[in-house]
Amino acid sequence: MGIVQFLSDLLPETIPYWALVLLGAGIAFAIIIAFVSVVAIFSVWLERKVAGHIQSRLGPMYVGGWHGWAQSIADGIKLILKEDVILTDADRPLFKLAPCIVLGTALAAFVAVPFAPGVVPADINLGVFFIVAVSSLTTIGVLMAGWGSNNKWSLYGAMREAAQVASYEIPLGLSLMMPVMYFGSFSLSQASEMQAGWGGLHWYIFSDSFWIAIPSFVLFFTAALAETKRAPFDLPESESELVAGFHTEYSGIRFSFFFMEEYAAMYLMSAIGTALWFGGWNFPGLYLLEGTALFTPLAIAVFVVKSMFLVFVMMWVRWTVPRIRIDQVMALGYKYLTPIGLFLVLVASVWEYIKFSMMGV
Amino acid sequence: MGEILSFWFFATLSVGCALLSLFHKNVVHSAFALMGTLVGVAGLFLLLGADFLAMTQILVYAGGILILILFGLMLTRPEPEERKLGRIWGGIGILGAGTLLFVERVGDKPWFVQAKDLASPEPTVREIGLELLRRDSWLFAFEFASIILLAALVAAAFIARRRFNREEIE
Amino acid sequence: MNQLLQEPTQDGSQRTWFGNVYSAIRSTASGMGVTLRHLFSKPVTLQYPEERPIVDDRYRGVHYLEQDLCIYCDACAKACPIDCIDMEAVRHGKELEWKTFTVDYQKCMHCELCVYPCPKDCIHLGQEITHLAEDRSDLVHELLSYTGLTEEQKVRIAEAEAKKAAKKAALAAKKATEVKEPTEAEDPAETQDAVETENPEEEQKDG
Repeated sequence: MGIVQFLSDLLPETIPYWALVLLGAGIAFAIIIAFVSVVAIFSVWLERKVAGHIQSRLGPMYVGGWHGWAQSIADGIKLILKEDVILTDADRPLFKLAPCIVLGTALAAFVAVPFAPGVVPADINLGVFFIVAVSSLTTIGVLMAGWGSNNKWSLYGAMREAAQVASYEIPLGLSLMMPVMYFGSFSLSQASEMQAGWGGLHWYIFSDSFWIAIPSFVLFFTAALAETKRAPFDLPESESELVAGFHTEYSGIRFSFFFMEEYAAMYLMSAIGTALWFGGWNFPGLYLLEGTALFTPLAIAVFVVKSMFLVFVMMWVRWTVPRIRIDQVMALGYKYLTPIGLFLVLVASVWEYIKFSMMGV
Repeated sequence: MGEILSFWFFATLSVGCALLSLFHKNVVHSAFALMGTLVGVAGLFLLLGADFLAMTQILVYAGGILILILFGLMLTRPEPEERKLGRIWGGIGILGAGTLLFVERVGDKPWFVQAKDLASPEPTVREIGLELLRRDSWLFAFEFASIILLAALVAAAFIARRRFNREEIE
Repeated sequence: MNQLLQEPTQDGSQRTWFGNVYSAIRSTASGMGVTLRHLFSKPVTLQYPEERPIVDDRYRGVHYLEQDLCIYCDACAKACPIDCIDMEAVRHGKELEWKTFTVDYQKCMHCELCVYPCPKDCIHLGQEITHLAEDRSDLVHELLSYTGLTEEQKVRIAEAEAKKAAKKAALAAKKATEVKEPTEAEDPAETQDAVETENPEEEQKDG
């Protein structure tokens, strides 16, 4: 499982293990960055098209010909060519370090995401917990950006964002307890493998615990929307449209780091949702190809398509629901989602105990 | 060899960022350097085979407590009082000497695990969960600690409550 | 103390806890249904330079002139409140040799006041919308489809000239034959002519 195992099978025995680990880490890093960049570029285009069609208009149409598919590539090139403006009064080390921390921690969490059986950079036993822990580090990068901009409004935006993200980690973690209880493991790839029955449809959301899976998925999705500062909970972002946000003073590549981090985090949350609730790479009929060379690419494709569908649902919700005020966000998080999460944990553990005592599973 | 490399990496990260945090002039920079320390310590936990503890360290310390420290620093302006370097060096000296003494005394105890003794670490989540919830194990301490935290939460919420004037109540 | 237990908004939209959860789920779901319907319906956008909007028959767009009907009476130019219309032609008898007929779209406000006074109903505002131009001089539109004289016009002018010349020749010939007549015939003819020429004048003055 994982790249290091793959490399150790590939390369001769004389190379020490730690060199294999470093090499594997380097390769994984390159692949993750490439994949996340492509996903981010595609997501930006998809968002603009989805937003356009929901609003009865067209979205990008010209750049590159068919429905403006090259629009986000052109935007990326424009951002790279922009002048790098750093304020005189800005806190230089913090200002420069913030986008790196934000993007770095968002990318680091991709290490545990399983794209196909065996295609996971590192099959971490504590996959879910690791992802939640590492993606909670992005908040520090945001605070760094807000403080380093030397701008009162940036600081406000950063503070609100930190409060929102820290508050919604509780329902996020609680909602992730339900699939962990069902599968008996924190590992994402093991969870995906356990959903391979019924011809590829034994997903958690169709299983015998579906009446727990569906509310827990809704809870997870809502908490994930708040964690990635998306959709109705985008006060940190929207402040950048209205007054200022934590990334006001950033332009060019630094801004593109924040932007890419947002779409990377969206994809990450969708990938977790897919792996735990919607069967990961399983698709009806795909098991027939197991063992052939076609299986792995198709499995990866199935996983990516399912995750992109959830990303599309995130975009769909964004253009449906109006923005929620910060005090309403806090009320929703603490007064509604956390009690619902706790109640679901109680119910799910009782149900698992009943299943265990009845069937010995 | 791999363990040695990773140990030195995480140890340097922890100690280096801690020194940066202690000696830097700017308070906020010190707080951000603390993040490096906490992540380094989490790495050291990983090297000792405590995977759950490492993740909890990142989630709780770096992702929670550090944020609150930063909130406190950013929303208030602490008085730039004169930093007494002598005291910092003195503190480092005392703690360093104490740690070395401690390691030398307990180095041969059976519960003192060293990284090179671990063959291949197993996941610890199940063990920790069972230990915390076994009646003959740490259950009572766990529940008691939870109640104390709950009391602290309620007290904090009560202290920070919104106070109304007499006119609003009528 | 009851203040502490009240929800922030007091307009009745916040009800019980379960009511709030239910209304949140229901409103979000119905909203998402609306957006889904919009997502799959045809967008109303018009891709502008390739597709043009379809306008009414009475739309007041860019002018067009039916050149053969125009009699160069200048009524439309005089009616224009901004003096956008400028025309120039040379009359050859009944035929017009057109030099220019321009409308200046830097000034024209499409008020249609030039259309009504036209006695021959030859100037109209059509359905063409745009005044796209890359230079100011491109905004002064020439409405003529051809300038100068056409072949038929030249033929007609030549015929008219020929007729005139023939008439003149006939008159001259008539006068030549009348000169040979005796002078008495001239006097009553002259006085009759003088009386005849005077009477139409008097009749005109009375009329």
